Amino acid sequence: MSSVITPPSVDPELFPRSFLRLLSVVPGAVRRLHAGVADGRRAVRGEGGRFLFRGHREYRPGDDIRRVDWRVEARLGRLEVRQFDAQKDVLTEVWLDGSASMAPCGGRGASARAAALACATGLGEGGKVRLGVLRGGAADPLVEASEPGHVRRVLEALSRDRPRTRADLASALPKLVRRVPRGARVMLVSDLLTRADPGVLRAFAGRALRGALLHLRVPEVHAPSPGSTIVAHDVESGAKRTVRLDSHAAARIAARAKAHADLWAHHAHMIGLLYMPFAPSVEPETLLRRLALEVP
Amino acid sequence: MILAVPVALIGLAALPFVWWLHRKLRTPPEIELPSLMFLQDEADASKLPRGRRIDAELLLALTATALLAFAAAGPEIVQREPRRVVRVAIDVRTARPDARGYAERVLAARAAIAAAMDEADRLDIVSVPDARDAVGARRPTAAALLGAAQAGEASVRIVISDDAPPAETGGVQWIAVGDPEVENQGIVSISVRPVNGEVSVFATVANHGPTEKRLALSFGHISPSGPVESLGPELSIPPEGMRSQIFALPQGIERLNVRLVGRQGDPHEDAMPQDDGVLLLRVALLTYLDPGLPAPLARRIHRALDAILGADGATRLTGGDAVRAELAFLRRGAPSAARGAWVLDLEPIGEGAPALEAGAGTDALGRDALSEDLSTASAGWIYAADAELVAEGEQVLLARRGARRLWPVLLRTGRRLRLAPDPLRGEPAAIDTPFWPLLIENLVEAAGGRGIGGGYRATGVLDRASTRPGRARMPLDAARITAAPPSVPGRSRPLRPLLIGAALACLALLWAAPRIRRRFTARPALGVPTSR
Repeated sequence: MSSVITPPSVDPELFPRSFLRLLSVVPGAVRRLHAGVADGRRAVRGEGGRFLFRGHREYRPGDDIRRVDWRVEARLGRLEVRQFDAQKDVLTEVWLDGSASMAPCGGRGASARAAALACATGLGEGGKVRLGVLRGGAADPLVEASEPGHVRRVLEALSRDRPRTRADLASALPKLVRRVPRGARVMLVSDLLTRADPGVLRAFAGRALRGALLHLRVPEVHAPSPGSTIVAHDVESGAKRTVRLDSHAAARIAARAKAHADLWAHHAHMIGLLYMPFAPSVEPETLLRRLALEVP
Repeated sequence: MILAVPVALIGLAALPFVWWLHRKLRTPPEIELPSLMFLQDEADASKLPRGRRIDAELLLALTATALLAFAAAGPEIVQREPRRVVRVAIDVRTARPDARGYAERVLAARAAIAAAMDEADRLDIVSVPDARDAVGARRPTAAALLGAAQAGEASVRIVISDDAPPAETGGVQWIAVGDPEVENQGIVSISVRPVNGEVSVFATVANHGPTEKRLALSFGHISPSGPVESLGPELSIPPEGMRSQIFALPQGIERLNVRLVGRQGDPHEDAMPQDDGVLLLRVALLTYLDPGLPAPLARRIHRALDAILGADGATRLTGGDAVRAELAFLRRGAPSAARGAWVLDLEPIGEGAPALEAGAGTDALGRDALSEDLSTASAGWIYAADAELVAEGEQVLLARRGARRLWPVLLRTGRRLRLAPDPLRGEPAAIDTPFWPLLIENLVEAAGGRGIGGGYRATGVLDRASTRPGRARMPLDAARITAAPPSVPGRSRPLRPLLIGAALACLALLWAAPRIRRRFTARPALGVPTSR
């Protein structure tokens, strides 16, 4: 039984002990999750696959039947299994929306944990990770990590960074394009509460990117509960607005939010990113499973 | 009523606070949101005109508070008021039929009683006639008034009489409405005794007035030579006092009229003329002996009776029916009716009487068995000729008088005295029998002192209380009516459980309203995993 000691510089509110325990088992969990998936299926994903083909060897009892190369058997008449080497140099780019709108309604913690899980998944698969933040129209890297033990750096960087000002994705995303190498896996964590045109994602087109757009959807914004009148306070602009949240208004707001999300999801899909919405209340285990299994 | 309950007052005073608290809680909460991007197209509610609509939650809160406040006051629905029955027995025959303003005073007393009653109370009035009018009394006895007042279920029992009763009886209030200004003088007792060949008339005159009165007694009779009127010596009667006088008359007067007159024989006038004259009628003294008695013994008995009764030469009778008569006894020296309905019951001689031959020398037999106290039920029998009743307070004593030799004789004849209803008051029994003069007038003093010795009957002697009209008035004790418990309990239904239940229902609705609204109001789907 391994004990988890929270580093002093890691914010325990963002990363509670239960989450840290989950992070400590991410490498093993990733391996177990991948073990249930045919290596071949994962290998064909992306350009070049995530595993490198090493060669054939003769089939031995106990080998996974799925690894049998049936074309060799058809051509040569003997059972040969394929052998792969795991790709060690996959770079995972995790970029976090650093605007002030990420903070309320539990958004900061959820986005920080999602970014941490994305980093831990990339490290658990044996690759490298770079964590950065999009803020004020710029894309500033926070930390780089190359092995699972560097997750602590990620946590410390996320603890230090506090959401503020605006993200200005319209300016930040084109700059991010220049930072991300071709073929890298990009994890973009944002609430997408911007009036920027989602078409700005087209800047990533043609760079053989893969990854996911982790859309933080706060229920208070995207699907408010019908009730009495509220005075809404915008944390970014400081503006206030009194809204009578009856059922019709709530439905209208939810429809607008859905249309907005659908638009971003469409553009993310166009550049090869998996659109993955999540709420602040989502279980980290659920998010980890989706990151490990669904994100290419 | 609710204003008298502090908790209820606090509850009512809390209504504005509930309203204020509700308004405070209903102020739109300020919520910090990541962005107003999706709210921009919604109308600004702060700029919308404030619509007037029913606030169900405020209504429920105010209703619950008000219901609890009313419940704290403990209201009740009175389905039937508690009712008291005030039973009033009115002495409709006053001692003075011509008493001034008696009816008005009775009506005033009734009005006072009615004023002390509640609206739901019931006044039950009974009039008590005097059943003894046949023997000269003009007032119902206290027992009759009490009996009439106590009959039936009543919370308060009141007797309205023209004079104060001798003593207050438990549970019954007496109101005397006599005229306090009235004055009266009258003959309150008279008796006749044979003394040395004459009859000695002993008369007592009472003065119910504030001043001394100087009166005389006039004795009139018819002699062979014509009417004879004798005026006795002057009596100076002090206020509220009595004087007695003995006057000797010759024997053999059949009809003696005794009157109360002025000092010089002038007519005397007062408020009650009925007690100013007494008529004495000589009656035959009858004795009765079993015809089966041996003649010597019968003679001895007759002699003994004559010696006792002073009625030499009385008529002898044989046979007859049982005789009943009321027992009278002395109460503090004054004749008074027997308590309850005690009467003498003398059974006919000869019915089951044992033989007298063996009677001699059995003097001690009955003496030992004789009860000393007639007030107890153990006094099963006594012997008429040996009876003398004396009352001290409430105790009636039986004493022997004279003629020791008579005792064993009567004992052996089996005569027996019993207590039974009084036929003279209307009870079913013959009163005009050959025995009654003997028994009532000679052996036992009759009720009201009307029986006297010496072979005379007296008519016109009233109760001493009756001769004292209107002197002592008794006011109505209205507090007793007010404090009396209801004889018919009221019926009411408490509303507190109902009000508390309604208040709890309101509070439950108030608590459940937001949840019901949320349950039946569709929340837009977020469309993302929300595991927590």
